[in-house]
Amino acid sequence: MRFNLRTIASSAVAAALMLGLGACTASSSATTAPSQTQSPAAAQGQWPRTITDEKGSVTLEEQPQRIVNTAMSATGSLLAIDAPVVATTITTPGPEADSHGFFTQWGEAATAANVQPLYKIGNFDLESIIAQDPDLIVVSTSGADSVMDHYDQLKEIAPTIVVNYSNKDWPELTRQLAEATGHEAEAEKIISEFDERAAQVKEKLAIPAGTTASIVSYNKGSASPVGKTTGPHSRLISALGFDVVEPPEEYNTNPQKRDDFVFTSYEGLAKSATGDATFLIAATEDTAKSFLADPTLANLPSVKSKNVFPLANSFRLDYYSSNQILDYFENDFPSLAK
Amino acid sequence: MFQPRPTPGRRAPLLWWAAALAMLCILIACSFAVGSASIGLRESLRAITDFDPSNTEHLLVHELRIPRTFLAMLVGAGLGLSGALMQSLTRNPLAEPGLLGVNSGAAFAVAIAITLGVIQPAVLMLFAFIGAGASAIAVFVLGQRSTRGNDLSRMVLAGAGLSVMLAAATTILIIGGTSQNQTKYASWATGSLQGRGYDVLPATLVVILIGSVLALGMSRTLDALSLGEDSAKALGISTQRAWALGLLGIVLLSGAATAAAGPISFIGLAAPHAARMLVGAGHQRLLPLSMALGALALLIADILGRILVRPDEVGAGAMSALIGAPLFILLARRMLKAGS
Repeated sequence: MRFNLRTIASSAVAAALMLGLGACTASSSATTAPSQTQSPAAAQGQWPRTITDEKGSVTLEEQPQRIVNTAMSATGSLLAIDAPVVATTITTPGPEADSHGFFTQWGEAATAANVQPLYKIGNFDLESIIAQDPDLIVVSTSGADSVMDHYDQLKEIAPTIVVNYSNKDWPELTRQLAEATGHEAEAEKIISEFDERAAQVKEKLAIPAGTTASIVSYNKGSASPVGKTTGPHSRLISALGFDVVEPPEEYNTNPQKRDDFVFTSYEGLAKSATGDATFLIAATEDTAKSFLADPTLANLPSVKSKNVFPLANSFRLDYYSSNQILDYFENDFPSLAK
Repeated sequence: MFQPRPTPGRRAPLLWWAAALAMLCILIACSFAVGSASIGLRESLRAITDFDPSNTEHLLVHELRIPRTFLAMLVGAGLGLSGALMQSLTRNPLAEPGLLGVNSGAAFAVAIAITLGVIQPAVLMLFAFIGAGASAIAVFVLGQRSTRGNDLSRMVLAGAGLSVMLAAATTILIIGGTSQNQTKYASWATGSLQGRGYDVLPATLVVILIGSVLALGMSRTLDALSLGEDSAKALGISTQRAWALGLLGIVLLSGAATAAAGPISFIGLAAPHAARMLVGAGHQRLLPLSMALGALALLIADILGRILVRPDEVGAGAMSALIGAPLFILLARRMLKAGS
């Protein structure tokens, strides 16, 4: 009996070890470079050009043909303007990412464009970047996908531009990336198409003037990011006719001051999300139910009137996810309850 | 081996108990009044005497601060008592519930539950409880000497080994999981009481009550066991039975505490020692006082954790180690001086 138990215990250890090794090897394979056969697109604009970025300036000799993007949050913006992304960092498959580890909002576009997975964000892998033979590398200043620590290594491989997606909305980021890749025309096209569509949806929604809204990434029992009026979510929601409520800074648990969110303490949430409607980002119907059922939030106007709406794929806004939000407002948004 | 101090025959004077009770009341009031939203003592007391559900501040006191206050005391009491039980049973002054792999077992089970997509706190708690119990029993079985009885060093080794293995497995599960799962696990693992309330309070109360009755009923057995296994046998105590009951008590108490509040170390180790310094090794006084001190310690830790980095919080588990360790060293040094 005891012998058996010991055998079970030791085989469990062995199994755990093997699992661990398996997980290690699985993540670092499948990074062979695809053959370089794409026909060079008609170059737009003047090359060489000098791009201003967060680190200063970068000079690009020719229009990039092989972009390696370490800033996963910007992949959607690159794909939306048909920039030649050959590889992007990925994340763990789950509700927000498909089986390749691509964010669901642009997973299809990435697969169609034959984008290769680079490495999981957080597990920087220089070799996988070199293997893609890039002529432009994109790095972000902050966020889980930031690899600023490796900036000096990366700029030895290829021209490297540094973007900050946390302080600008997706059109602004898209324009910046368009300048670096020579896809300005595509950028202007999708941005104006989007604005037109947003205006149509706003008209259709006909939200009464003065209706306020809060934007919350709800984490029951811990700090919840609440969208600020200067953040990207607020711009989208106010484009649809809502007045976004500025959350008080008093409950901010994040020592870093940000333009997009106040990381509001759990107690503070009851005093912050005071809009007539609450939009829950990266949320499902279940999230909305648990928000409505949270006893500490019972006095919020949006909870009383049951105007709490989950916005599915909305944590990172780019052309694709913003359009999905418009889809939601166009097709699935129940009108505001009084 | 561990030498219990000779039991002083003193009786805790009534004044002592009154002072302790007064202190507890003050702490409870503080706990109602302190948090990231500034509500203040008067308004938080009004939330109890004159509850107005349309007042958000009253809601915060009722829904968050009252349950977490009682949960902190309950969990602290459970940890203190199970630590005392553990130290007496093993006659090892360094014994604490974590030694039986309770924390790592619960953590592993919670990691499994989160990976499976469990979100209800009560179900999560059940997983943690089962994990804690299973690993405690596994350590106990692995630690048994092949001939008879229990071998302490074997058990310590088995506990350490199993803990490392479970921790590795937990890490694999969590690191391989989605970022949401990682956040969820982290909020459990910091031993934070933020947002833990009525959904886990009743179950914790019941289990800890049962465990307490069981443990407190063992006072005489434990007194006899502290004389050594042979003397205990001579006194007619069945060591196997005592071990089985004691183990059950430890699993119930520390399992429920860990399940409700996450892994909280140190209180299970320090509270019984502090109690022993105050009233000696007689279990009839030692066990209740270990409970009381554990409850006080965790409540203080939770309150300080809310003040320290306001409006954010430090988990009570981290906080109790942070303030408890220096205090404990100070006490131990004073006792050494007094003893020499």
